[in-house]
Amino acid sequence: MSADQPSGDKPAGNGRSAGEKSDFKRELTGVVPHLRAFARGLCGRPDLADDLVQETLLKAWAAQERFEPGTSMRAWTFVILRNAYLTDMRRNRFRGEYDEGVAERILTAPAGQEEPIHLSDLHRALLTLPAERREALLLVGAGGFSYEEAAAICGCAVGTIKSRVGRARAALSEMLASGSIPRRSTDDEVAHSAILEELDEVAAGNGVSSRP
Amino acid sequence: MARCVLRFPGWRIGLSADRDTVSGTIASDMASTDGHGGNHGAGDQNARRRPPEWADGLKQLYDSVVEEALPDSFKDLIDRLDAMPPARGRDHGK
Repeated sequence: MSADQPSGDKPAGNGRSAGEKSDFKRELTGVVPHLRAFARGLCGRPDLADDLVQETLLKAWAAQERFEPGTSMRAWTFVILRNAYLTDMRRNRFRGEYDEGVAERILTAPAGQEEPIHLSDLHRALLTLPAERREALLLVGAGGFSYEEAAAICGCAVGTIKSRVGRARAALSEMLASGSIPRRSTDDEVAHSAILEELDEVAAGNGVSSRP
Repeated sequence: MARCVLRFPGWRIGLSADRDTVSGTIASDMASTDGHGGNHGAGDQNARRRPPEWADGLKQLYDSVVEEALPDSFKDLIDRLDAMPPARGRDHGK
């Protein structure tokens, strides 16, 4: 691979000026924490989430000429991250493993329930949602995007995002209100053996990727 | 019961990418629970009328990661970016 001349500040044929590149890099660097947060919400495990973000950064860098200065770097990179996530997911790379590091912070203590709801409960419940609903809820409910922005990121209609967010909220509310939240993998033998069985099946080539 | 049913989807989220398209029939029904005052009489009243109590938790989850110190691996990667040429435009820039 031939490296670009580092000293050249002219657009080398297909490139942007050094100034534009450094602006791009600064903006890209600025959104890394947000990419990590979005990725963590999507795929649960911090190490896999960070891999995804690194992949996103490389792709964004490679595609920087398609970024329009002045538009939202966060939204632009979220699209890239989301596509990378969906691709990986189709390859069965993410299996909804829980982040054991989420703080056991108490969120709320619903009346009539002996156990309060913890932040980690919410995270685990979130990970049980279908990917589309999870990402819609993350974009709107955590990332602070408008429905319109979230729709643009996901490449779908605003109404679709609204319905996904609504369904995600309803599902989470129900899970949290009833206490029917999957427990931690480490102390949930049923879940643990379920995933092991699945892995065995995948390893045996039977795959579980055939959809119900 | 409910608990058993819910456990398994948690481990299979990787497989449910297009569930929305399959189950679109209930979409319009649920859309009205979204932020606006739903007027479904049945079910848990509170969850449907106002932002759920846990809503702030999503922000907390997100913000807790945003506020984490960036691992060195990211700094290293960002430092290396300049040495990587952006993709040659497949359409030659035009």
